Amino acid sequence: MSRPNIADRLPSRFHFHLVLTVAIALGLAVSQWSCTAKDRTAVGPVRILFTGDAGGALDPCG
Amino acid sequence: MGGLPRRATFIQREIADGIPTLILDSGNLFSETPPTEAGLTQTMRKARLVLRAMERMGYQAAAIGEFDLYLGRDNLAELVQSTDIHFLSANIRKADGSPAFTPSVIIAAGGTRVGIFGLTSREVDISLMEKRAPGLWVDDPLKAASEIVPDLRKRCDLVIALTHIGYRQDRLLAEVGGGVDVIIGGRSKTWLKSPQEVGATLVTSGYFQGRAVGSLLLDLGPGHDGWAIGRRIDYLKRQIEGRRLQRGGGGDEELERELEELLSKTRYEGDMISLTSSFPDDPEIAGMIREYRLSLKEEAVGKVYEEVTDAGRDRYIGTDTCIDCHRGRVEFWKGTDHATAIESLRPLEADADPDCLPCHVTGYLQPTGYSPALPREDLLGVQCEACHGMASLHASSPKLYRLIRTPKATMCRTCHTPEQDDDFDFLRDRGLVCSE
Repeated sequence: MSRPNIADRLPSRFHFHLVLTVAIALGLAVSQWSCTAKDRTAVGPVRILFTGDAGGALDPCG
Repeated sequence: MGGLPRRATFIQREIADGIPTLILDSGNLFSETPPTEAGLTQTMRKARLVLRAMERMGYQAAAIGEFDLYLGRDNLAELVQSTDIHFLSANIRKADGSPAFTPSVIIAAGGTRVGIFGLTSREVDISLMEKRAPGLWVDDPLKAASEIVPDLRKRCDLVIALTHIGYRQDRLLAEVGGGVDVIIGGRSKTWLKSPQEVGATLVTSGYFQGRAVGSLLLDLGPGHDGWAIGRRIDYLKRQIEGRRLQRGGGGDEELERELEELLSKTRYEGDMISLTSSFPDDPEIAGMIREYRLSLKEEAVGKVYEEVTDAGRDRYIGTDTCIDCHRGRVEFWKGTDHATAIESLRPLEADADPDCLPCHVTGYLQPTGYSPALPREDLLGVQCEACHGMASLHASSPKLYRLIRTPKATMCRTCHTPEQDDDFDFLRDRGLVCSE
């Protein structure tokens, strides 16, 4: 009985690259969402329009 | 001032420049007072209309105010589930302590990740809560903020608190709740023309009845970490001013350089814009409101209200009877705004709107009073009996049955509220509607 080639048991180059790519992508995603604001670049401009206590007023009479 | 159609026009104009914009509301969207049991169905109908209008305007998130909660747990759930607008509260909890609503949301505005969380006031009517929202309770808003902000701070470029806890609590939140960049408050109906800098936080507030829209343009430089640099800016300004006074001339170049650098990193412009008639109505939103009111009119026909026939009870009789004995006063009244109060509703198709009618007709939905189903012409407008009381018994025996001779200011103020008529002066204005 011939012994199996050790190379057959290792992941193929394709699989290796696939796993590596996914790991890098995951790492980037996690770092992107967990880094502090200090590490980030400029924010904005962002505009906020806001209301409150409108109380169901439909028109100027309230 | 105000109105949904004008608001829509304003928002369309503002966002036309393409700057990434968030459109937010700080709560109590649907009712100005706790909805009564009898008025719940009608309030929900209006709430659905308001929500559709807000969707069209592009609102993304709203805090839950206590009056929104008083709509009822199921009713509010229906509204929340029917829309893409995020209804937020981090401190309304179920009996087991878990959040009853979505506590926070992260929204992308251009390239900026914005974390928004909602807070609701603890000052709720307990009995109404038990009735309308059984099993829910409101936790300490500051505690809830302290639990949620650190996580949002890590994950977002900008953290916004949408609160319905009142201006004082908002300031407290700014002082103790490190990490919140902007607080957009509500409940106290505080007019803030521009945001207040409280430590590292910008505090602003929505204004009531949708009379104004707040606008805050943020432009934050690299290295922004909340408004923490705001404290340093304040310190530097004080130092530079102090040294100027000390030296009687120039300040400190090094400090001024640092101040300049910090100011270049963090900029904002805030304003509160009153929705005056200079903003034309958006035709689409105006059409939605018109349709809603026309349906109210159609449904009013055929409704049966209590008709009083008992001769022993007082009834509304109309000015045609009053004039027999009080000709001079009735003739004077005919020339006043009270006599034509209904006319202001007609162009808006609001002459069957239950939110408007009580202040534009006489005896709205009271036995023998005005109702859309029985629209007595002689009860249109605010006529004699609106202030002096039902007069059938008085007409039959004036000396035996006296009317309210001089209505009290409190009666007038049920309609001439500060919100509706901030210039109202009882002693001055009563002469405008009734001759002495």
